[in-house]
Amino acid sequence: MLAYTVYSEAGGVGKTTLAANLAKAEVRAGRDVLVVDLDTQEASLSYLLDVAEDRDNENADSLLRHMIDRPRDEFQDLIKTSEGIDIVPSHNILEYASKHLRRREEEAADFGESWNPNKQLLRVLREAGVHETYDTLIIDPPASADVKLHNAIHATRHLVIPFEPSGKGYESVRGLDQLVSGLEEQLSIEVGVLAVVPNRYKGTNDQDRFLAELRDDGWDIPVKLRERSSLLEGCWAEQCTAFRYIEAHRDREREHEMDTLEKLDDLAERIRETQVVEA
Amino acid sequence: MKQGSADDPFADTEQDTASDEESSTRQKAAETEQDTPATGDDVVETSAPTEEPQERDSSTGVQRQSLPYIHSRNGVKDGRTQRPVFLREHIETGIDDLVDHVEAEFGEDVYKTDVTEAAMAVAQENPELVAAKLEEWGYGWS
Repeated sequence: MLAYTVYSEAGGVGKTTLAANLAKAEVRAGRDVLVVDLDTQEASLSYLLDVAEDRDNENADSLLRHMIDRPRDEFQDLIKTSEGIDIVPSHNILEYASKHLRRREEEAADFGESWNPNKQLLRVLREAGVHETYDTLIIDPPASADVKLHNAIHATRHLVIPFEPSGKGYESVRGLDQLVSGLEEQLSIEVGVLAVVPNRYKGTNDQDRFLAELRDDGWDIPVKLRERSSLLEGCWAEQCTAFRYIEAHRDREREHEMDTLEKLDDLAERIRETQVVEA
Repeated sequence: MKQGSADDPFADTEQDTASDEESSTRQKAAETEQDTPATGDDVVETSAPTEEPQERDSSTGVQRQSLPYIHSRNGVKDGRTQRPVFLREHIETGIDDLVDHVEAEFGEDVYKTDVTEAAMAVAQENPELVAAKLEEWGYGWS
């Protein structure tokens, strides 16, 4: 199973739309895809793909309940489907994930058990047989670096990093490198970067300079996504992926938008190849 | 972090992910018992495999099974699944006393994990002793 977390330290770089559209590109390639949404922001992937109806329902089961060994139901019942993508939606209780996971850890310690709060997502996914059911697992973590992000990286061991081609964006990749190195040491894991994805690329000299620096640092940049504000706003307004939006809500094909879809398909393919070749 | 592919956390059960696991159901654990190393040293274990786990020599594929259990494993967690059990305080303290006792007997360190599993194994080999203890606790009085 291909598994990765889409993450950037900088906010507002299109993390969620990239995760959703890569998931859709995987479905288009004929693969079974599961997306796990750990982001509690209102503008979450669950909202984008219109599966957020239970997020504030206190009686609903949630992924966090499974992570602290208090499930209400089967894992499979958490899953909603949109555009052929299976999704474990976000739930407001995830806001308090670190508190609940810490409590559970303390309880375990009282019984002389070791229980690592950073490793529970992988346990839940494995116990549910996700790796036997799906070809691709994509996790959309929150923008803040907390225990949810740790769980996401621990469960996937791979990152796709959306990148704003600017000085700030460049620093955010370097900051992420430091954060991940700490996590690798703490959890005894190795993390691979499958792609760095420049978003809102306009082709300025400045942007090209930062892309060159990233390449010099050794990161693979398979495609550059151009600024597509109108398309992305449309996606959020209609709650769908870019693929669906262009198919269902545009009355005529716009060449530059078709080009963006093609790049997303290419990116998904390159990510698959990167993992297969080097694994 | 590095460019490219890293290890696959779902590939097979590996020690660092399994060690913190506490399976929610017995059935699940039974399925993975043979290949899931698990548990902390200070945790009570009850899932004694009835046969010693076989180890495969990676270079030749030959199985070896001649050494006694504690000498043929790579670590005390190998082949064991962590189990939460409910114990009253005096029984739990009693485990430490039992560890002290066997350590004095052998003149060497003995894992608490081994002691608790051995205690369960002895109980399973002597069901009449277990029944007598339960009677003492009030079973069979009606």
